[in-house]
Amino acid sequence: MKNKRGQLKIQEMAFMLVAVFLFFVLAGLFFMAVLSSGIQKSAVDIEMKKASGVIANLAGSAEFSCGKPNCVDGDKLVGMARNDDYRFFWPTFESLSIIRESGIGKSTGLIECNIATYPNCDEYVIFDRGGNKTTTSSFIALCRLEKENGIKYEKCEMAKLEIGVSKDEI
Amino acid sequence: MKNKKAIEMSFNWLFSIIAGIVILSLAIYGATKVIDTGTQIVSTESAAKLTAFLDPAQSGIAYGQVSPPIEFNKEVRLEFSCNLDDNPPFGKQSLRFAEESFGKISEFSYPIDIVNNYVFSENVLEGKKIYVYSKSFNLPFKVADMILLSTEQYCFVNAPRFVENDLENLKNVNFTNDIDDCGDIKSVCFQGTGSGSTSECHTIVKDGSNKNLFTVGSVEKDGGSVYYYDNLIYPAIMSSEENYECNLKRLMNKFIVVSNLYLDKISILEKNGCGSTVAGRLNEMISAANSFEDSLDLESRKLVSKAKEVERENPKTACKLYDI
Repeated sequence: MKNKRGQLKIQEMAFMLVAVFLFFVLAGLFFMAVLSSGIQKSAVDIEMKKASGVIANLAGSAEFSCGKPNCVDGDKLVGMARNDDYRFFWPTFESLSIIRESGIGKSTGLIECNIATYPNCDEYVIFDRGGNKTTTSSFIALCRLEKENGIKYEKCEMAKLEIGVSKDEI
Repeated sequence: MKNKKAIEMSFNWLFSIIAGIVILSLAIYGATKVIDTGTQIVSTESAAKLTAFLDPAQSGIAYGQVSPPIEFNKEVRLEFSCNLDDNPPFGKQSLRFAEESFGKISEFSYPIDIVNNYVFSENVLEGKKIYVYSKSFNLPFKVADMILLSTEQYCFVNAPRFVENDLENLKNVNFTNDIDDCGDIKSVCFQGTGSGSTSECHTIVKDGSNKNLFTVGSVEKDGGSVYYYDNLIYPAIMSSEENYECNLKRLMNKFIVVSNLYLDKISILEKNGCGSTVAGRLNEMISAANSFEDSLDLESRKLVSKAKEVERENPKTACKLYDI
């Protein structure tokens, strides 16, 4: 009789220990889920803020700069369009493109710029990795050499530099 | 029954004690692991933030500026490594971060990749304050921004005027004409024609122009020697030989890619009736950069002289290829 009571107590204690353990595991999992959802949201927010800052300075980089502040060299950019070397050069961006004045506001029918279509085109797609993304943009000056009636001059137009940031960052 | 003075303990008590010890041990082990992982996560986050800060495009620290030093509350250790095989054709650097915790430096964080920046420094930096300086690498057009990081104090002896002007706001560099003023600080002596003995100097910067211009030359330190050209003089002085040579090769890879953009631009300009004599020189430079092994090749493969020719010809062509 005494033995049976002892066994019962051990069983009770074992069940209690298992229950306490499971409670902490579940509580931990719940905490991690809440934490990771917050992290994901703040990561996307940070990436967006970072992207906005980047646009302001990107135009000054060796690949884009026309030698003046916030100015992009359109003739140099043609070689960058869909250039595989640059596909992963900016790892935080999902896509990078420059939309010419003629393409701003258009959602379809944009003609991509490349050696064959240039200068009669609307958009330079530097790269687009095709992932789920959210975009941010800024206006820049896009300059290129133009020849009219035998006179060569630098023609500048307004353009939109657009950066895509991945939504599935983490 | 004879009293053996033993402690009588029921099975319940025994079981509770053993189970308690096991649970407590697991909890302590788990907590230690969580703290360790937490420290490493914080260090990795710090490394990532630092990497973002070092991106000129993100922070605007570039363009020949002396930026305010990066200050930490605790002693930190940064470890840079460079790899040419990953992330072709540009190569990449990795940064690992560790900080002082309970009086000792914690474990290094996970490595954070630096793919589109060129950070010149010693292999390991230690301190609470990191001095930042940046300059562009031009060959002759702008190829990339170089970022220099240092924690040490430097004493520049007989430095040319342009170096004094460039670094006058960098707080960890002092200028003097007498090496005795340097004391224990790392001395960097500029050895041009007519300069005195450099036997006591830690680093010797030699002029290769023979006119004390220090536009080309070599830097000798720690038993090694590297070649510099133009703005590369600063990374040659302040970074390790391994870091300098690896980053220079990365810059050469970037030069090839950017040069090809210019060749495309030349073909577009030609359609507009703007012939260019620069294309031939540029192709020669690309093939020299393709077989680039170390900094000596800047001179031996005539990259510097060809860059100077392109620089001279660029303004003379009907349509300028680049504006710095």
